[in-house]
Amino acid sequence: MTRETALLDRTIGINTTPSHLLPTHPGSTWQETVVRIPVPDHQKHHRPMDAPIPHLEVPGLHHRSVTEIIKATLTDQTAAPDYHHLPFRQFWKRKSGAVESVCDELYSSEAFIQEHEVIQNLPPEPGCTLERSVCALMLWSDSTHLASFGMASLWPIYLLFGNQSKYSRSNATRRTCHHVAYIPKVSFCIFSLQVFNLTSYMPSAP
Amino acid sequence: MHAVWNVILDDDFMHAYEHVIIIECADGITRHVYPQIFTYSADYPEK
Repeated sequence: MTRETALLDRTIGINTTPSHLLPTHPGSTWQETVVRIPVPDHQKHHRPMDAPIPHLEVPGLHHRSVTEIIKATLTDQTAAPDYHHLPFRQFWKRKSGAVESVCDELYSSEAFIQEHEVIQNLPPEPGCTLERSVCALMLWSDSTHLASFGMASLWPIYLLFGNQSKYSRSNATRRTCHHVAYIPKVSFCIFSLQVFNLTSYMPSAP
Repeated sequence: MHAVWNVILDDDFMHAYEHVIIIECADGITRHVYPQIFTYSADYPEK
């Protein structure tokens, strides 16, 4: 039990994670925003004298700044040894002498190499001699069930860096997967009612 | 979902996306960092 508690402390970041990265910390970089969705109301909204487009407001989107995550990762000493600023190509020479290109990581992929070359060839800022580096963002999102029983679930958006090896990205303890947002869920009943209140029309069935 | 992305890809990120960010990296070298979205895989909330 003591060991599990210590593990939990370490995971939630006591003494290890900068506290401003925790969603519950008062100085955290997490923000809560109301999402505004324009709703069709069968009216025209072309001219300035037309009524404004009705917006459905969905509260409770928790999110972090993507630029803050990029800055935090690039300045993080523990992530640095595994972070590739420069792409490269890998080849495997068979016993027969044939040479094959090895495709494994995003930072050694053609897409990354091409993007790297594009930014190296951009015209320089006057007097600037700084290195230029591609930061490969990999975003994904899916609903996550929190328990084997019950309906508790979250809809997160994650951010991973293609500059890091897929072996560290798939390793949960390396903390290479960053949480960008938690999307609020709206039940269809509430959604229908709110849209009806706004527009006097019922939305079509899902 | 599009409205959510509109919130996340804020002015700060769009400025970095268009005009790069200058970061002093953990190895002590200051770099121009070009954020590029390489992959996006998502299961959209049921419509």
